[in-house]
Amino acid sequence: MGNMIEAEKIGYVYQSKYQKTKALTEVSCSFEQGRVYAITGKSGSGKSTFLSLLAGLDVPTEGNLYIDGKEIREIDRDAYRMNQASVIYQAFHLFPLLTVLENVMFPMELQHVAKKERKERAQAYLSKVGLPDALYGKMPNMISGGEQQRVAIARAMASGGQILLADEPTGNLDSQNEAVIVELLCKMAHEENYAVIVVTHNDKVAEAADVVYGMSDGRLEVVRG
Amino acid sequence: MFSYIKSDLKRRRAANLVTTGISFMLVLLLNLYFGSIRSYQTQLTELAENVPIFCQVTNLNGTLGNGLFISERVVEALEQSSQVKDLSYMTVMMAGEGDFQEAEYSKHLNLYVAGANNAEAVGELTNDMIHMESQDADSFFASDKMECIVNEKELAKRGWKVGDQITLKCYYYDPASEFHKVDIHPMGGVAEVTVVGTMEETTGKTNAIRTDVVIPGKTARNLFAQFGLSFFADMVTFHVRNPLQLNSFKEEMRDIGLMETSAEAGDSYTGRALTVRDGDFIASATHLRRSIELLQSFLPAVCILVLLIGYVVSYLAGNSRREEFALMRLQGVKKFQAAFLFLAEQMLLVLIGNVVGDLAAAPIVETLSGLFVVNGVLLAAYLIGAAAAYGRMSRGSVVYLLSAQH
Repeated sequence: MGNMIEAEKIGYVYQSKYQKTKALTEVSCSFEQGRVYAITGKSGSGKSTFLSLLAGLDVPTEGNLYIDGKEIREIDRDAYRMNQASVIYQAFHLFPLLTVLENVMFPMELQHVAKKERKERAQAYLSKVGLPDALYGKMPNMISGGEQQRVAIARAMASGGQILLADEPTGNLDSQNEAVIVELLCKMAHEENYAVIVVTHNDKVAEAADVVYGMSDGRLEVVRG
Repeated sequence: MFSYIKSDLKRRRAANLVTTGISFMLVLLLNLYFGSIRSYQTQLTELAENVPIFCQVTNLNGTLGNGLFISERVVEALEQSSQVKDLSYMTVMMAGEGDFQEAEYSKHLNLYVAGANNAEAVGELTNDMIHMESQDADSFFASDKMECIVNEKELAKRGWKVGDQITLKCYYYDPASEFHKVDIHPMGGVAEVTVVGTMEETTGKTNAIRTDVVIPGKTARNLFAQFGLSFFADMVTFHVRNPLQLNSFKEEMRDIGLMETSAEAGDSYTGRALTVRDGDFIASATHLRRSIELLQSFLPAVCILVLLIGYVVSYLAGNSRREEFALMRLQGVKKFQAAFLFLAEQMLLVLIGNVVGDLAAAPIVETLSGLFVVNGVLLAAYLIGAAAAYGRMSRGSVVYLLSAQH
């Protein structure tokens, strides 16, 4: 099984008008399909910055980041997010004016999947994350946090990519929903062959991961794996 | 992607209504504003027809409007002037029937003959008071034939009939006469004229002088020329063709030799001054011009206000959608596509407001060009505001936009 993502001594510097802040220093690691990775660390340690680089929302200021062997600066990063990598957040970030079903259909609409097919597939994804049919027509603000995060995961599945990046996915959830989401993420990695990379403070999430990285002051080290 | 706009238009009703409503109000306001200016401008243009400026050639002190000696040169210059319309002139002669001895003039000289270029020039005579079988009054006055129309009473008294040819020995008033002492001289021969119609009695109805026989103005001028005499008009009136160019009109009148009246001038029968009754016109025109200037002085403020409102509304509406914009980007939608999608949606709402506003303002909208200006200004304002908002979002980091929402 080859490495989907490979970071090679990457660094990142936030540069404002008045100062430069080094967020990542010589981070080297690799991620492959079928495994769950947890990146732990204190707030401000650089975890989320690293995740945004993995999502192609920005590019490293130093080093190289390879996606399927191609340097991230040389690929269409919008197309990468549309077709290969999905991100879920602690705040769920669903489209507020689309229904649950429409939210899941949206990535497929971008990929020009026929309406009938995207509806069927969206229903299948929602069913896979265990969301009852009755909620498909609801607006995101009408369902619980755990349900919203499941919709976000279903939407990530709908994009068809094999990389799922999660930034504190259980941060807003109670312990029961937290367990459901962790189980879902593990299933995606182990049964659906996703590379699941989770940035978390949560020990239970880290415990469930196959590989755990720790991040401190912008430097990454292997904790377990 | 467009299904996203559809859902959004359907579900964001209140915000969309506000955007459309503001655009509707602004279009209505702008149409009202430009409509008022146009209405005043139209009134000013139509003022020339509604409040015509009447002019009359007078003597220098302005006390006499008829019974004057107005040279043929002045009459011809006025006829040829592009600034003059509805020119009326009349000359007055005396005549006796038949070719009598000059020594017996006091016994025979009892007909007042007027040569006029239209009916209105002859006192209060109007076309419907003239009765002719073979032609209408206008063609009679425009001709230079040796024809005449005769007062009905005079016709009956003298036993004339329409179609008769009558012989008139004409006398003219001497332009060299002293004031209050007008000399009269024979023109030097007789004129054979055919009676082609009759006219109703005018004397008694108004203050107009008695007129027994009327001949066309050109015929009268030919008669003077035939006897080697200079033609003089008794009175000349007309209207200013374009009252909005009053200054250029007055300049031309001065070139023709018609001066402004002067109360200090002595009495005379020479018609060489011009009375222009432009008081009402000037008062109305000044009022309208001031109103237009006042409204136009607000134009920069109105434009700035509209641009500002359009910009702010658009900017705020755009800014309120930062999360959606960031989510689109997160899903892999390109910056330009996402910005264009929101911009298109917003412009659609503004356009709907504009169209409804235009329809509401239709009764006051006179020209399509005005409508284009109003809608153009508004759309530009909204476009700039929205472009600024989405441009700013496009430059921002997706992570920042999402974390800011969080």
